[in-house]
Amino acid sequence: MNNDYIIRRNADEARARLTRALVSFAFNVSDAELVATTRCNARAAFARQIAMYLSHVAFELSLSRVASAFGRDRTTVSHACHLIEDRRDDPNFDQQLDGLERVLRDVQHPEVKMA
Amino acid sequence: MASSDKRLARLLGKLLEHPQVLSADGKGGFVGVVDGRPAFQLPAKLAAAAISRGLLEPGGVDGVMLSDVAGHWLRRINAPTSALGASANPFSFQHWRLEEREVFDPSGDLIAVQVNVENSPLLRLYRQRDEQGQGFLAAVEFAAGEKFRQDYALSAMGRVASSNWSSLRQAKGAVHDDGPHIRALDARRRVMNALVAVGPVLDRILFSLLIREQAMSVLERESRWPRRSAKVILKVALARLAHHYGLYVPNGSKELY
Repeated sequence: MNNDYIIRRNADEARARLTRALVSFAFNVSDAELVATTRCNARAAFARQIAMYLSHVAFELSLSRVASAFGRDRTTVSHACHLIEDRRDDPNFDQQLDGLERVLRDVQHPEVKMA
Repeated sequence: MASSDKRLARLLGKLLEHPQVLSADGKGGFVGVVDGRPAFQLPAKLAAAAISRGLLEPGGVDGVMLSDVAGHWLRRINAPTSALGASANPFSFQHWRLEEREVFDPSGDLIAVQVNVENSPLLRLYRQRDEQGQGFLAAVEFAAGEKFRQDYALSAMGRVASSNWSSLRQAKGAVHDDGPHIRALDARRRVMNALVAVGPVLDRILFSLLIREQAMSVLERESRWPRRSAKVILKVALARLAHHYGLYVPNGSKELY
């Protein structure tokens, strides 16, 4: 059981890394800003929220799993998901996130079957 | 609203724009195609929630499609929270059709307001067309009926006596008109004059169909008229009303104004 947990945890962190890399590419924010323990500027904070939202939606992880993979609180992730979901009322932004979501869905992690 | 509801609403809204049968993706979820690409993905958890609420129904081979209630649900979910009263009653909002209109407020300024155009009981009758595209009601008759309803609403005769906290904000400062009570009295006088002009039996029709919004069949039963005759009598009453309001032009043609 402990072993399962570690594998799952590693898979989640790998997914978080992938999402961060994608978001830092798509929104032109450095990875250091996304993993920072402080908020940083608004642009970086927004990109981080997008990254958390995407890993919740595309990998269908629970909010607490996303939180532990990103090293943040569960409610921070929940807030981010609410915020991004509201922003998706804008059709351009919605389309952009649709594309990113599809990219992440198409990637299969080797451990994904049991995680 | 929960964020998962919002997400479901967004996905189903897209499905409403591109109606199709979604096919199972083998993991409990469903996929759809938009513009030839597999763009639409409904994860298992959301799909289960949608099916249990009756928003999706079985279709095709192992697939699902939007059900009839999904459209209503989407309208309820997307009910504006800022519009007057709409957030409090999303169930009535799902039947509304809001349009922007410009009206004069009491101080004489033009203001833009949202109007529910489905509010009128006459509108449905007016929209009905026969095979030749002819409407049952003439434009003047419809306009007369709407004017009558507007006067009645202004007259405050049907208003509740208790305080109403959902009313429109009042303009601050001096308002240079006669005041709401004078306007109400004027409107009341217009309503009463119209009812007198229309005459004793027809006035009751106008009142029960336009103001109390009774069903025509109820009126027919109470008055012991033949079935489906109320529609014709309403047309006569509205024509009298249009004459009273002077909506017919003198040469007898039925052009409005």
